[in-house]
Amino acid sequence: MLTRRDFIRAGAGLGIGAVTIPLLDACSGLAGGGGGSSSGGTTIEAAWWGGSDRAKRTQEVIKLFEKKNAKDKITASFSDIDPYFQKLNTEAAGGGLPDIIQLGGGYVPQYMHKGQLLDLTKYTDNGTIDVGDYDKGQLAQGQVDGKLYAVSNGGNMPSIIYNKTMIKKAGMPLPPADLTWESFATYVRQLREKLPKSAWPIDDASDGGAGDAFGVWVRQRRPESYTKDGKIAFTLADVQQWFAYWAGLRKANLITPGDVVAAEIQNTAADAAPIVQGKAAFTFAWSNFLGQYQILTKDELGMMRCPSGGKQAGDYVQASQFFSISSKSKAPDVAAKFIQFFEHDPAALKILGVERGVPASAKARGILKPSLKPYDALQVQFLTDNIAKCRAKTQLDPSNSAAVGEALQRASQSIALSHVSVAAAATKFMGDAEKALES
Amino acid sequence: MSQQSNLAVATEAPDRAVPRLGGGRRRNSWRRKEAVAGYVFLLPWLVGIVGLTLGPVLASLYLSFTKYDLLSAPRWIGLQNYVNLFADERYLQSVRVTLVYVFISVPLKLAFALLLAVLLNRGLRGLNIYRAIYYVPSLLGASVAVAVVWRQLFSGDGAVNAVLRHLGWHNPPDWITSPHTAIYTLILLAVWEFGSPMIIFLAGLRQLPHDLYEAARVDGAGPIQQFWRITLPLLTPLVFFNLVLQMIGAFQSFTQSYIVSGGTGGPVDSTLFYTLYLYQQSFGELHMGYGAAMAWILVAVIALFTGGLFRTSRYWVFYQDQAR
Repeated sequence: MLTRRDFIRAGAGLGIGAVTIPLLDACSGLAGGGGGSSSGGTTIEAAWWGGSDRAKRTQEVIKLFEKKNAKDKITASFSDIDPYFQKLNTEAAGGGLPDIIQLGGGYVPQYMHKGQLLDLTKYTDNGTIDVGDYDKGQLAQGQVDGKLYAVSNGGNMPSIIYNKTMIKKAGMPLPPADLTWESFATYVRQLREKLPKSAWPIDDASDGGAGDAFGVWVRQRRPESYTKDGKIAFTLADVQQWFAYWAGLRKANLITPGDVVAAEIQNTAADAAPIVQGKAAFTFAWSNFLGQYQILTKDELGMMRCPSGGKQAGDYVQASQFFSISSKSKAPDVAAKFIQFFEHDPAALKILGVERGVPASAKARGILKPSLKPYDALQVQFLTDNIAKCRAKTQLDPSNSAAVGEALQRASQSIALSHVSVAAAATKFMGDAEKALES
Repeated sequence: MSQQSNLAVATEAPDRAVPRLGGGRRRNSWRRKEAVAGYVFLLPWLVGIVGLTLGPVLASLYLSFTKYDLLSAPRWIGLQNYVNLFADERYLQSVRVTLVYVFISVPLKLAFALLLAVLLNRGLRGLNIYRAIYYVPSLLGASVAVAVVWRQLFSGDGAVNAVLRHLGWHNPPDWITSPHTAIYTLILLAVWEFGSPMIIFLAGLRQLPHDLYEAARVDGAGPIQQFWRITLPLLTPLVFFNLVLQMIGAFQSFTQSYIVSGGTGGPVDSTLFYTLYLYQQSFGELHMGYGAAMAWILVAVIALFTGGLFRTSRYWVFYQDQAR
């Protein structure tokens, strides 16, 4: 039988187990990469996040670039978005960022302030990178303190995607192009009576939805969602009205119930989205989601602008991702040359399509349009039509704004699933949001 | 115990008893060489433990007193991280969730493991096959794939609800999207991974002395009485061992919640494991110092619980070689 001594010996090895978690915290700088020369040519590294489709397109463009610039080589590294930024943060800490880095909005100022990004103004001035006909909002979102640090790879807009087939089958006319929040509610109330019980008119977006629906609501009332110094610009009353609007819809059974939304949050794959599964007729989403939803359903999808309200237009074109150059790159000229090629070469544009969003350059949009699938063309048209109607966003969200989004999601869920009152959830959210932005 | 310590004495004693003769010096240098060789052989492990474990561990202790966002240099803020933690509602929620998970899943898992070990120990034909089958979940349990399967099984229109509807429950809840039930699906997942404690129990059961059971039968004890009076008391060292091991493991659970909740710890933070919140803070919001402080509190809490178990063990763990 086991003796005490045997046991203590077996147990002695355990203590260290718990310490392996802080280990994760402490191992920061193990980075490789960076520029370098090999056999006369220059090799640079480009990194991005995204799925296999994006990888295939990007690598094709890289091959094309290497064919036309025989001396330059580009090595690629890519992964899903979460591991991508974990790796990137670690590389940044170790001073070994790739030469070309794909970044999302919040990361641009964060990396810039830490001295990680190269000021690209030099390249736009000498014409290596041409941003002359770029949409103003997308261009401005890559600037910090008036200098360009990131070039938009393409833009999208907060929008509403809807199931035309489902609405027609229910015997309702399609929604008019311009709706207010109130007339939208009236419309879906009528739709409710004609839809089967297994479907809801709107996929609940009180948590911000799959696009920035809450941001649109706030920008209709305030200049921006956040102040210039990175604090929240919305008030408790704004949040209360937002939650109250959705609570009204929820009470009338016009939006997907809490468990459907929770399942959507747990499984973010496009094929699990209620709009694809026929559980919702309308969904708030980024405009570029149209393509991935459309290929997953036989029903015909359409898109429209977010409802209007408040004092001004709230929607905006967002640069969905950028290319930046590392400040420590050994071959920034090659990197800049590649960015220009990526954004303007007609063959490259056709390979890339609108997978990264609709190009910021008007000329590029023109080159692209004839070669697109109908749903992609619809997306380009939607953006082209609305760039003038929406209100350009010229200021980037603060770096921890993602945490504000998560807090909104928790508050929204607490109303839908835990029967917390609108007032209490709004107060809680304000506290969480302020705290998230403190550091 | 006594046998082992005797052995240890036996190997040391002759050395000391050897009379120091002329060859002493040579002998010493030979021993030093042997020692050097020993350390050389140890080197890979030493490098590993110092460079990859101890170093980072100490670094994380230092970081826990700093504000560190990975991109700029850490800034010393003393105990501020530790103070802030206790005013952080989500932190306290993660502590609650983890304690519920540990206190429910560990005893259930051990009870289930013991039950199956006892059943499998009844001279079953093909015991090895059953043992392997029941062990498989432990190998898979912490894996991503199983967590994904779990999410499908317990979702609103998943397999579990299909069975429940068939059995006449028309409107079963959506187990993983309800804040009231989500944590219990994770507890069930933990209990399902009963394999490794079961194997240990089984090994223990096979060593129990037959004569005690024979004597008990002669005295008229039934199987249930035999279990409570003989099996369980003799197995207490193994129960203790499994309890400590599983408890430490449960405190550190991460993957299940990360996958099932899509990394959020939701719905409404109902599955926000301690380590998941640590991860969100460290790698999501880049509050590395804050995360390091959380990690060190976890180390302390696990040490406290483990120490507590050792303290109580003298009252309920029975070692056969111990005079009582």
